[in-house]
Amino acid sequence: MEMLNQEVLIIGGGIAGMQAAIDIGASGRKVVIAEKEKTLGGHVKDYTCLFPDLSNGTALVAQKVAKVEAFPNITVQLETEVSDLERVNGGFKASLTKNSASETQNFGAVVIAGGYGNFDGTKYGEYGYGRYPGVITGIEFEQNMGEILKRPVKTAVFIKCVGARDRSKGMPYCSKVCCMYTAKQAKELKNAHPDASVYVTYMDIRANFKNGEEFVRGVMEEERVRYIRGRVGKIFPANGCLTVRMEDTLKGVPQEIEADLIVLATAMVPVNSTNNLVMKVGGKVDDNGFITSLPLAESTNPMEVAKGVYYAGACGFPCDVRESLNQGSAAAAGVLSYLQVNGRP
Amino acid sequence: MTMGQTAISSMQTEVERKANVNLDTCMQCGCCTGGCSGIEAMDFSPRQIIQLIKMDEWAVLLNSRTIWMCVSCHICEDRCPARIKISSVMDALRAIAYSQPTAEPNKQIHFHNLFLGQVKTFGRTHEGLLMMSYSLKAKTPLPPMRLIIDYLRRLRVDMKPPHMLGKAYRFTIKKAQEGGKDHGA
Repeated sequence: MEMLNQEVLIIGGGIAGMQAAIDIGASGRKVVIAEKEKTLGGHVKDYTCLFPDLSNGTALVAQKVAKVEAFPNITVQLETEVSDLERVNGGFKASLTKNSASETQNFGAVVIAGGYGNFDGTKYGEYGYGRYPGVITGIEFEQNMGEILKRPVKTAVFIKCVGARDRSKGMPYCSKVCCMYTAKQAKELKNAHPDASVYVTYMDIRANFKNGEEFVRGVMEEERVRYIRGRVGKIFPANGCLTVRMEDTLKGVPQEIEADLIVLATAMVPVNSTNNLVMKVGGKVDDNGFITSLPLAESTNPMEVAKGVYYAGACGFPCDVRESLNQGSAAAAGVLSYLQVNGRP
Repeated sequence: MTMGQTAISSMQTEVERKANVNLDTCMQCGCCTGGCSGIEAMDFSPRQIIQLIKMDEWAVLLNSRTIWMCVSCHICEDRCPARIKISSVMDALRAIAYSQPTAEPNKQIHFHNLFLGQVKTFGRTHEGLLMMSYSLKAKTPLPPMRLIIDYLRRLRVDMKPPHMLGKAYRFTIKKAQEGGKDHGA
């Protein structure tokens, strides 16, 4: 029997992919990271502040990149996309495409860490994203935080569940992290403008992270951010600012808030670029477009998508940075035990 | 107050059947109220109406102004994240209220009857006649004199005698009444 190739392909150089590469690279096996952007780090490199401990995402990415680069056996292929993936002799043959030149390479195992996309705020016409400059998305808040915190803000409204828990938009799932990042952004805004009124409109608060509940309660109790239960019906310009119309469902009456900054907490959506690769190697994608692992009772590793294929990070379901790192490590453990067991003749 | 509440109220079963919706998908988010164009005239918001249906509050629902004040603009329906057809729910409630034998006919029901009666007779409404007959029927006073003068001067109310129907229209109405079911649902 032929020796199984011991090289590992990691699709996506975000935080989960890098963690998997570091853990696999430490075993001395060759690892190739295929990243389609110009730099490693995915979305997290834009996040200057992570909940709930307010640590710096950019610094975290820099530390992981330094570790990846320190391993001589990890090759990083930037601006490279995996255009094809198929099973060959128990291993995998991948076509790596860079600048429309493609080369094929054989691998023993694959980790898919394709990451996520951000919900397009313009799909909610009634919120006027893209038409009113005062309406921004949470991701834009995160990326241009310095500039936005300098704006003169008297009243700000954070709108949660934009593109989540909405069947009519085809997004029935809860995006899970929005409650936390909204609370964090509200806290930052309140710290920058202590006199501003900051409102958060919510349907339910889902702070199921370590210290998450305490964090959100702290934002309410210490920062005095006002939480209003209800989903916003519409936003329209009036008197030189934007009016948010909604029902305060606990009071049971319609309410209007005049605000000059409105932040839409947009959901994490699946990217479909890796889905055809997953299906080609026998993996499954759920109805929402996220990668599904094998049923727990049939798999040897929770991150196993198919034999020799693992996933990590938000391509499986929305998750926070810590969970992405956990999944990266778990996928690495799966790959290592798979190669250890199947790699010998 | 404790009461023997079944998992699905009888009101809910009836409304769901008439409107072809599943009210248990409602998350009580209030998005419907936020966009509602008639909310100022309502006593309960559409969100509360759904909860009242679920809790089997017949008396409250059938006497509420909301079901008559809904103008069926469908904004709530368009935005509802649970895809509940709220306008159809309101239609179903109006049909139930109308067909309740015990229900005291209220002003809204009088208005609906007069309006439809005029459409059936004349093929269109006649504002002057409708206003007068409504005032008599519902025992509400006529609009103040200053408004009546204004209506007349600016030709807001048609003073010509009612429009007379063509043969084809009378035939259509007759057919509709013969095969017609209860309106609304």
